[in-house]
Amino acid sequence: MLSKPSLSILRSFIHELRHITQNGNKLRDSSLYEYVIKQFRQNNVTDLQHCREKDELAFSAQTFVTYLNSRRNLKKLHEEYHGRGERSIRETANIVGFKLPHDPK
Amino acid sequence: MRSMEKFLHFRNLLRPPLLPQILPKRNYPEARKRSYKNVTVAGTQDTFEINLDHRKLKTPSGNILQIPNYPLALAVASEWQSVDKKIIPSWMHLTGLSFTIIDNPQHVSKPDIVSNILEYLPTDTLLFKENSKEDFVKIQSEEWDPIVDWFNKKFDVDVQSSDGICVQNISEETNEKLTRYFSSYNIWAISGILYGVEAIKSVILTAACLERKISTLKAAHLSLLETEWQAEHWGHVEWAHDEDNKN
Repeated sequence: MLSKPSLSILRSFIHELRHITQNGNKLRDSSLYEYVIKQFRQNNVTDLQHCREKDELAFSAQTFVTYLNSRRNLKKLHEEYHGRGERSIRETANIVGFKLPHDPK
Repeated sequence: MRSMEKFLHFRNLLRPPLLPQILPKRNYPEARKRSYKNVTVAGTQDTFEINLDHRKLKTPSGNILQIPNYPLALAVASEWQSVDKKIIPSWMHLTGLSFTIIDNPQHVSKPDIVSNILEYLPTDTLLFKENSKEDFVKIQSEEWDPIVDWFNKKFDVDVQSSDGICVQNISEETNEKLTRYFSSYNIWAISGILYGVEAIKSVILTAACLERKISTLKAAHLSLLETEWQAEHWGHVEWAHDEDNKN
């Protein structure tokens, strides 16, 4: 069985992946998912010994998860606080009840 | 409904005449919308390409994006997959870095990049401590000193913190040793490293991440120990590191 830190990293990774999975495809079909699971399984075999590759994998995975997570948070924050820009002319006209010159009456 | 034309006409009359030379024009192009459905990675052992639906992903110069490393290609693909509606290039760091490496618009060579990295060492964040507040001095020492000591031991150099704002003098020997260390990474990794160094303004912290001594999260935290930044900006810029880690 995977060690505790690896398991939590894997879990966070899958959590992040759910957010970027393409429409219509399942999580398991994405190549990124397959690759990471394969890597974790490969390094699982030497669980009992002190394995450098396992540490490397855990570190890389953690870094990547942090990246995906930060990117997602940035998006959320941006959406929440970023200005929405000016109103379009159509919207401005609607406020005072006008229609644009070329609109049907 | 009154005609809009009259309204606009009156509005224009009320405005003072504005000369085009005085008013600066803002021409921010609207962000491109996501026009593709699927993102796939295809390729052989040494070269991987990314396909948006059936079109190959190309760099700004028109070259096909070819990545020598499968995990990195997957990571770049994930950036394109995570686009919701608008494509915002400044948030796609791995893509941007990959584009730069392939196009190389400024014709930089690997030694150029390595020396750029080492230029950040004299003004490394970890070497400049704030001495005015007692509590903070203690925290700084606890957090920063072990890393600097580790760095000195690992690379067999002697980098000292400075008081005040005087820039440190880095000896020739130190430069040589560090040049040799960084030159051992390939051009993809080294570009990522430079990006990371520029993000957290510290060579020592970046090296610590490369050697897996500290996590990238911790490195960002240590770099920001004193300044106040919006967490969004700092947190995510740092993670260009994983390009090297994937290698």
